[in-house]
Amino acid sequence: MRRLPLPLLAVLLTTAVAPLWGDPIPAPPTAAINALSGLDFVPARSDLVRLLDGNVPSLIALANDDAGSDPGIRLRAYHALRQFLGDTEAMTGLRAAVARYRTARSGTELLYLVAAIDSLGEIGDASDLATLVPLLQATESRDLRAAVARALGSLGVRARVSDGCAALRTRTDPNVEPVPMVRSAANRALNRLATLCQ
Amino acid sequence: MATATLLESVDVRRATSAVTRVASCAVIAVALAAGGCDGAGRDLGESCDTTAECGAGLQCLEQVCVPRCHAHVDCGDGAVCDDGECHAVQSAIGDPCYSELACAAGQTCRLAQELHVAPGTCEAEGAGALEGEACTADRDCRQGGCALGRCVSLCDTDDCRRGWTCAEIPLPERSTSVSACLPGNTTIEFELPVPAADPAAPEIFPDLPVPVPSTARSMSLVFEAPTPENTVGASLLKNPRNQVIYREPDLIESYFTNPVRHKPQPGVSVLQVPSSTAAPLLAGIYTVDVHLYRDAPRLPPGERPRVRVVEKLGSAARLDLHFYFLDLAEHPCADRIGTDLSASTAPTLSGFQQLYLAELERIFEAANISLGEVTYDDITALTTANGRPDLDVLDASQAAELFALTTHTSGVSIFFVRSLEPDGPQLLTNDTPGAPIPGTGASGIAIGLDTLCYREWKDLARQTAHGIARHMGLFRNVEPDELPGHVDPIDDSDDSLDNLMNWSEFGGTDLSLGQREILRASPVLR
Repeated sequence: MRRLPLPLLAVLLTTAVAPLWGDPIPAPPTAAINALSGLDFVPARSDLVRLLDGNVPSLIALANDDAGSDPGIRLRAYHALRQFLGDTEAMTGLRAAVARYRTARSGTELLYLVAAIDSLGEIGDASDLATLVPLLQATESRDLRAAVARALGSLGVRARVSDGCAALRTRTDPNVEPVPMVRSAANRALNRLATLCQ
Repeated sequence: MATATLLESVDVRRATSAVTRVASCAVIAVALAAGGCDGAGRDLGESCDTTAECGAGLQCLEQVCVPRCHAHVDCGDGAVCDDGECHAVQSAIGDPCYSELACAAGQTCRLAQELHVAPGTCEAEGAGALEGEACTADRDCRQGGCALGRCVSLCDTDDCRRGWTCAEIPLPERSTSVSACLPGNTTIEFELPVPAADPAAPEIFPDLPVPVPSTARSMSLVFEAPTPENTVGASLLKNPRNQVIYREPDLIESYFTNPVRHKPQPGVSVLQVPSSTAAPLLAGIYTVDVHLYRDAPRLPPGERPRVRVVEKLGSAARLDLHFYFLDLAEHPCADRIGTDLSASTAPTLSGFQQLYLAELERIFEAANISLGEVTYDDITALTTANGRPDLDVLDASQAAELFALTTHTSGVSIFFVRSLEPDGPQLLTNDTPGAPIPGTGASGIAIGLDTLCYREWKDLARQTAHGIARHMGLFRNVEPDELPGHVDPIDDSDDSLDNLMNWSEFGGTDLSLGQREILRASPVLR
């Protein structure tokens, strides 16, 4: 097997990851980090738990590690967390990421924010609506608005809450929302929420 | 057998038109280098009774000295070129024949219904499709017969027109094969007739014959279900030696141990031979059982799958790339890219051209595959003026909708989207291999542009090359689960991170000799 590539090496040399809050947590095992480098997949929850020896907080910390972890690995970690429904630590970690990057409007930090929002939409609860709905008006980033629309659709269906309906409806109006992609995402979310939004 | 005699009634229109009957030899000397202006005999365009009277490089045709022929095609219908001279063919209706050249003008060597000594008989040419044009039955063709879904002329060794090859073509319905002309370097596509399902086993369509001519380098079967939700694919494949080389996997292990790797998929699936060392392509008749899952959603009894065959003939190795751009305006990575990536900016964007495209070219050059035509289109070229905003951020569940928009008949279609959902992958393919024909849910690959926020153009090229190679029939060199035996089906490829087919984004661009062979056999090449 050839030498490890530099971005991965940077991760592996780190013995601990610095989360956005609290004390450093031991870095995930090499195998878990390698598994988070796939071109076209993120590992299934069961595989991750096995690779992490059950230490899910280390995955959360890796996602939120601002101190040198590879951005591609971090992004996959954020996306992987969408599978951890019912895991309060995963939810807390994603909320921390949204809070940390909520003002990002471009570059990798925006990608972190979008990934965290997408995952929070899958595993968050009704309390997250208060954080998400205002971001639907982030005029500087169509990608952010579309991600929030997706998250409101997912979260609303699962949590059976309709608080996002009005904001989503606004985003379907071409006079308010100039970007077809966002209008499409809002419409799709409303379709998912169908009866809840009536 | 018909006989060829000295020309008496040969069609000389082609020959005389080349001559143009110019009186002065000096005037035509340059234009007709093969002409006879050396003073040894009669000049080009002069009258004659025999070829001996004409100068060097000329023959006597219809009592006129004209250039000697080099190939049968120079002599027109019903004549052959023999030692530089055109000779008319004489034959009677009903004479047995092996080749189109054995029949007189106005006749064709028609593929016989009952094959005896010779495969054909000379019959009067009728109306119908020309050689190479689509057909479903012999009667559809002006000449020869219908094989591989196209009209073919019978041949004997090397008597096809230039650029075409006399190939052995199996005829499943006659349980034999004939020699007929096929284009030397091309990809042919034809549809397999799928009979109605047996009510006793309504999901299996058994024993469909797939003819593979002697000049084929690869064969792909594209299975399509009546709906995108119904799963479809092969349940059994036998090679011309009647050996089972694929059986629908019931366990993950049998997926990896099958000599040919394939699994039925929702909507569309593809099986390609060769895609492994264990199952090289053989000329002859393969037989395939097709499995159409009739539940979820439930299909009416009359519904059947569509099966198309794509075969690459010859060794051409040019790879066309067709780039499509979704709406990428105001992308999060625009600062790093330097502009909004689109069909109008990509052709002149230095990063795209000098780093991304150049790296793609380098990777495939290692397999002796050169880049051919590169096209750039915004998605609106395939849709309405509004594009498909719902696909700008592409959800994997909708990828088939995007890929089905493709129209190019060669090469690989690559869609640049803003990002890929739901897991944020960098690359999305339908399955391995992709469909080598346009308009199906497996007819392209998608690349997430957001990768460029934290990677370089060269990295994006490696990701794209991995996706293209998957589309062309290569599997991952090793599966991420790292279980024993979960490796690609090619003997000489290793499980190294250096390999192009490694699943990690930190992989390299190496290809083994076996992998290169599979790539060069891909029907997407031209």
